[in-house]
Amino acid sequence: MVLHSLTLPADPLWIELSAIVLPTYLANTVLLVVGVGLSALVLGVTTAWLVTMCHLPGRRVLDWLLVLPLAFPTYLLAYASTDLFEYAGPVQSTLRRWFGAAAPGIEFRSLPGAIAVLTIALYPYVYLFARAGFLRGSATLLQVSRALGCGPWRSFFTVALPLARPAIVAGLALVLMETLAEFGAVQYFAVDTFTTGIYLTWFALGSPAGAMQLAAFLLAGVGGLLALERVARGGGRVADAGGGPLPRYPLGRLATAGALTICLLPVVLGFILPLGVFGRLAVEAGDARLGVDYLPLLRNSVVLGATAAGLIVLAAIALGYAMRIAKSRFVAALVRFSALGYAVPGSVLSVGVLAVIGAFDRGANALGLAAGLVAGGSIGALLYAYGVRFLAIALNAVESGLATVRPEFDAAARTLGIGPLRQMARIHLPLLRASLLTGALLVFVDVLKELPATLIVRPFNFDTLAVRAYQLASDERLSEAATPALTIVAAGLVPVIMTSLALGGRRR
Amino acid sequence: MTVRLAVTGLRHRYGAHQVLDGIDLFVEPVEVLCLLGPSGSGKTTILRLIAGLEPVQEGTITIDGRLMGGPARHTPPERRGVGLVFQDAALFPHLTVAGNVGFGLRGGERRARIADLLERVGLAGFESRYPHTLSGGQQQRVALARALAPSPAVMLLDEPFAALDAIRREQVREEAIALLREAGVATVLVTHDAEEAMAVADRIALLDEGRILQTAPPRDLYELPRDRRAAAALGKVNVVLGEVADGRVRTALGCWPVALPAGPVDVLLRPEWLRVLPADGEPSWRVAAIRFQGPISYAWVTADRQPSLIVLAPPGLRLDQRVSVIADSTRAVVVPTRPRHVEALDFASR
Repeated sequence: MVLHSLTLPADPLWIELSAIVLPTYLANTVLLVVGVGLSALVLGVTTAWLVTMCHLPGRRVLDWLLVLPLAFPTYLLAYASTDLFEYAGPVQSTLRRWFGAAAPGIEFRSLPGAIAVLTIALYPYVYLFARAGFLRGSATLLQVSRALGCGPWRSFFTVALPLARPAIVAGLALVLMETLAEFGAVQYFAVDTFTTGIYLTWFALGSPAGAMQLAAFLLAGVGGLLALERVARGGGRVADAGGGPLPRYPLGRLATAGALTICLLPVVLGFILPLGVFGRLAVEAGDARLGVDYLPLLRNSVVLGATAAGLIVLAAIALGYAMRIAKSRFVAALVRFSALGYAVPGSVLSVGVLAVIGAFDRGANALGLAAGLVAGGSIGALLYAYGVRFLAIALNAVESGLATVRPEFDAAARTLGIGPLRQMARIHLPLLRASLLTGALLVFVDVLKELPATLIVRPFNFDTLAVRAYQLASDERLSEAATPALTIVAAGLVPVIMTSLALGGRRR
Repeated sequence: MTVRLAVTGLRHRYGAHQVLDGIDLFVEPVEVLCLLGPSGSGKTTILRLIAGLEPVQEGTITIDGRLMGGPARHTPPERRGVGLVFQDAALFPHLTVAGNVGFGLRGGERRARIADLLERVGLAGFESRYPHTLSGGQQQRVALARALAPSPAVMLLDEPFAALDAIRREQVREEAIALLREAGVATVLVTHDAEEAMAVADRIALLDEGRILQTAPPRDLYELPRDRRAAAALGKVNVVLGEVADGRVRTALGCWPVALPAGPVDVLLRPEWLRVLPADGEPSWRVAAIRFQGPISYAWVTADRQPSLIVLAPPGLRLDQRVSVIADSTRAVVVPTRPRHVEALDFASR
């Protein structure tokens, strides 16, 4: 539907606007993506190397501390860090008190600010993948490299980095995609990118066609990133050299201090400080009305998340079995394609979903089935959007679960006199249960955090925790946003811990 | 003679690849038939077809005289009375040992039957253990007990001992085969290990590229292979070019009478059918290499314009020593062939 929009006759007003607006969107988006990409790459790889390859005190704790910023949705991190670092915030105020007028006034809500916040929020993707890459490929080869007389720096650049490259690029591709799709934070920082442009064009300018054309541009960018990720994966199939403990490098006292600072800084900035901000706000200036509002919000979020999780996991099971039974490349390709929605930014997706449902409504009206909007702006539409966006997560879980149900189990059960149906109940279900729960949990949390799609597709007056937090923060009522924000972060911790465990599972 | 399992004219293809190209087999009750062949020869496909895990494309499969599989007939695996054991036990990881063994059992006798089977595979008291806590050999024994539990008429074993380490393998194998014979099951054992096949089989069916080269008891197969490929499948063999004329075969190793029409022949000679003596005339062979293998040693001997022969090395044989080689003409297998060079085939040795 979004692609189709490119062929639509353009709104004349929109044509005029686009000449002014498009270059800005393009420049901002490119700057943002490049800035975040580079800094997340450096930060993620550096921390991963320090934690996996060096003798650091508290390495084990750091190992998972470094992942924690992922628990914060970017928009919440943006609110919290703005509260700290804006002109009137505690940091700049303190600086002014110390240095008087000499302290430079910095506008935090700007493009550089957005880059900084997104870097802190997203670098864990690079970190996680780079760490897994270092752990997987390197142990034996690094020992060889050291035996051949390579010091840490040369080993890093000649052995470890090239080996981990595919993993690192995969992590980087995630960061870039998330940045492209970013809505809440950039909107809050008033940095006009494609995603915010799509939202504004649709709702402020009332031009769905224009919004869809912007969305198509963004999709092209996502397509490019997906290709990049494929290339990285395909080109560098690094054999698992495995084996033995890593040869960790001892560090001097100064180097240890430096390394610790580098590793702790993103954790402090990306998790501890923002958590403190919201915690203080919630305690000190909690919204008096919130008690009344909070419960319905929580209920909306939980019901929505649970329903979506249930439906999406069911769909994923159907698709997973279709792939297993059909064994044809066509079916597999079709399923893969249906899971691509994860790479589509929420705002683009909602535009497409609304368009599809709009067409469906018009069709229904034409047939005289039901008057008015049947589906548009309904919970159904929202669930549909979530389904498109989060199917990939559930499908991954189902597939990894089905992979443990080896074909030999089926064969063994059949020859032992158990028919296909009882086989499901006695073998498949017990073996799949854990991964199905995982998939459902991940979808649930993602739905809880999801902002742009919820914001655009939700029915009138239907608020969730994420939507309310966003609205309150947009209205500069950050303290009232604190409680929903903390709830979202608490929920967000669950998948972070699980991902971290899954990717770092090989560590002994 | 009764036949428990009969396979006739089995042909099977995956896409353009002809996996099986006319397979005929039968197995009697209490008999162990080994399917021996390299990977890709179609062994596992035969098992899958017998078990009913795949429909038969061409040919028939009958068990106790009842047609189970054919182009127009497909009895599902759960109603064939067939047991199946895989290379890596494939125990259900979410069930205990008792749960696995009792998986195919129903009714009141279940408990007693499980206890009896575990007793017989030497794992009494392991009922409540989970598969991942067992060693490879123990897992395989549980898998065997599980497959035996419903008292199948036919047992299919797909390289069940290949994943075990060498020391445990022999013991687990002997116990398993003894148990199967005791249970009176007709057994088809798939393997690529010639020594294993010779050790346990009543008969061996040699499989190569979807066809059966020869079916015979191990000793017959070893001593009377049909051709050089069948000979090489069971162990080291020298293939010496010969020529038959006037009822005598002439080779580089001498002449002796044979009942064959005139023409080129392959003379198949196992290493132990050749005798090595200190040189006492022409032609003289030179010892090029000696390989010590514990109970026996092999030597490779060469001569001018002759590829090397592999022989049993008598004690005291030295490198570069001159020797003469004498073939045991009563054991040499002479089969017609197209002319080729003399060669030493060493496929199945390791």
